[in-house]
Amino acid sequence: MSWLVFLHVLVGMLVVGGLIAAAVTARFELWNVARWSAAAAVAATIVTIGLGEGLAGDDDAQGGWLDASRGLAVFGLLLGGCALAVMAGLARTRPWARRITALLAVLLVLIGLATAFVMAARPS
Amino acid sequence: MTGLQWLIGFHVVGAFLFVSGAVAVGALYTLATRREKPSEVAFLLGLTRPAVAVVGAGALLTLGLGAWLVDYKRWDWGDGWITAALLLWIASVVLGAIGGRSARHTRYLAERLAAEGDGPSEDLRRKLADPVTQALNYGSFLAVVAVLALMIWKPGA
Repeated sequence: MSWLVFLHVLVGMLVVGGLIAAAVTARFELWNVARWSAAAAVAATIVTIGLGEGLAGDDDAQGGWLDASRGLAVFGLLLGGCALAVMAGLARTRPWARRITALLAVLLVLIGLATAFVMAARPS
Repeated sequence: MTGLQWLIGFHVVGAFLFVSGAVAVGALYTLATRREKPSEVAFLLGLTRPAVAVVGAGALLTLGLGAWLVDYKRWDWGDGWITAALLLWIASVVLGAIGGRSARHTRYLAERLAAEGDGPSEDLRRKLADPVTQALNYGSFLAVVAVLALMIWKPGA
């Protein structure tokens, strides 16, 4: 089980790493790099969620913290990451999308950190 | 929420900043190594600076809250896994700092070459592919991943 925890945390760190790279490159208008970083973060998010569900099944884990982290991961990181990849693609040709994309990338980094906090602290 | 939950939560957030920031630095550095024009190399290496700041903040947060956790949970500083984690944390920071210094000098060279015509340079290419710098950066990353493994398995605790 420890291997699952290790991989779950490590891949989760890759998710946030991809989002940090997306946030930095979006801030400096490297839209192609931001888009690919967001896409990599989405792929890593899917792996992280899969590993997390495996862990939850093994532990028979339940609680508000698990529901909250699922919500953050699926609606924040997964859907938000897809939205970021699409927005970064749009930002190359549409100036109105640039500021939104840069802000969305920073917001997703914060959501990633919030997810890590909830999973580690397990409130409730 | 208890004090312990807050401590563990922010300790893990620090670890995420530390490792994820290093992932972002590595990605941007790798991207820089694939560019030919010195101006592009200098720009991409310059982008690593905010990510390096994230790594530094995460490293300090991890160490500070980790030390607080050791005191809070009355663990012994002499326990093998705690000593090993501390030594690996130091190794990661030192190796990363030395590797980062080399990358900074490469950025200075790229900026100079960009101002002198921005033509491709064999010297810059060699510095970007420097095996010693790469070994330092990979070593730093592996050390912090080893710390993560120690935190999860806590051998001997």
